[in-house]
Amino acid sequence: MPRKKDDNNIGYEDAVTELEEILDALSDDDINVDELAERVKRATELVKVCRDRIAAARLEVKEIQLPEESR
Amino acid sequence: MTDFDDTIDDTADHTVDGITDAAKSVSELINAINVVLHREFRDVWVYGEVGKVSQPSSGHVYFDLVEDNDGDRQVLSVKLWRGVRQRLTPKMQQHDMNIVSGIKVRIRGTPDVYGATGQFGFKMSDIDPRFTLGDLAAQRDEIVARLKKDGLYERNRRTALPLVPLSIGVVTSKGSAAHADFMKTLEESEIGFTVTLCDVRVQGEGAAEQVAAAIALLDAQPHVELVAVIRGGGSRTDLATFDNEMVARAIAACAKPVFTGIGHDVDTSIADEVAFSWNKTPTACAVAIVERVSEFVRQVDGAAQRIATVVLAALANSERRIANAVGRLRTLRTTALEAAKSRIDLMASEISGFDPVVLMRRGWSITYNAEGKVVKSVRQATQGDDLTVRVADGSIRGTVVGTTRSPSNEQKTKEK
Repeated sequence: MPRKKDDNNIGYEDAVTELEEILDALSDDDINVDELAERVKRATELVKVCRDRIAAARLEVKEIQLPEESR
Repeated sequence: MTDFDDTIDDTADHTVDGITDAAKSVSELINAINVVLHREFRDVWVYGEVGKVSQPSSGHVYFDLVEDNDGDRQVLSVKLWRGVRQRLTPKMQQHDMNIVSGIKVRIRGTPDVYGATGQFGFKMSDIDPRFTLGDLAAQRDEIVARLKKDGLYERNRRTALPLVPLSIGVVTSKGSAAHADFMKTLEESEIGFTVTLCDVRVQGEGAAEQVAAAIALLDAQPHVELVAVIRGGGSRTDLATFDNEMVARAIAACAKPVFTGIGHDVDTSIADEVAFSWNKTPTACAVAIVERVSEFVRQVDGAAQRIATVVLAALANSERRIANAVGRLRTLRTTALEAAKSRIDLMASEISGFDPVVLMRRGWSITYNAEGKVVKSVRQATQGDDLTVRVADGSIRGTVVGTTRSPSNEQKTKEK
């Protein structure tokens, strides 16, 4: 499992990879309850970070001008 | 119409044929020139590339027909009167073409000088759409071949599409229906997109240059993750911008994936061919981008769902294990108790085997002599001795009347 990064900067690819790893670990029958709780907590955080970042902000529009000579 | 026409021919003939020393007036000369032009060049076909086009509200169309031989540029000013244009419109529509900058045309008409400005021009009367379309197709093939040769044809398709492209660069004509459709779809997705818009001309002179420059400009913005090139529907010649080599090269050179949404039903443009993802309309382009992000959201939700399932299963499993353990403990306890109990019983019975009282109940007795010593041998008793025989429920006293030693070495003495 990759070290827990600052969740605000975690990449989407990393988040998904970590989620998959957590899933693998959870599917292991030998996992103990304390570890289970820890993993589930982490997974919940990851899902929340991803969802919040995608859904929270409203559509934002900026404009950029072509340089004068290209117009 | 303010232009010259055939009604002046009679005067013109007279002037040209007449031998005179007198100088001609300006109009006489212009008229004379026009007579020659009309006679020699009436309804000639001419071909070239459409340059600058202007369409004033009068309904007439003025454009430059250009021949450019490596910088040696020759220009013919073409006038397409409103009436002629109306007559030619069905024919052009049928072939899905329009007079726009950059296309090659083969047109018919008659040259003349316009007296009011002294300008030499060409009055267009007909067009050969097959020339334009054939040229577009040939041009396209050449461009595609060149892009392939330069390794550009596939390049944008090999860029990496981000898992969650939220920052979108958009190249379009601001305020167009295409622009509105695209934005509406992004907005309705309720995904937090950031759009960086670069307003460009999407048709006519300079459009290809602007579109190409805008793609490069958006590519250079570090935050932009994907570039969308958007244009509403139009005729095949209106969309010539997107068959332009400059645009194709800009898309190929773009380090970020380019999504096109150039409205047309029939063909794909070269821009579409080289883009990472091509879509039939601006709306479809936005849908494709939204879909990419939604796919990720579904993936994350799916993981969350699977985690929930696994956790529930794990909890159910531990409950089952606890129940099992409790059950086993119960069984274990019963068995152990019973074993202990039977062991104790056994021990008790073993112990009771040694209790003299028990033995006496079965008929055994103990004989004591007068001194209270246990008599274990015939030799300890002689005739006349007083003995006390102890049995289970009491004692019997008696006197020895005789002794007999048994042949075996029996130690115990029996007496009734």
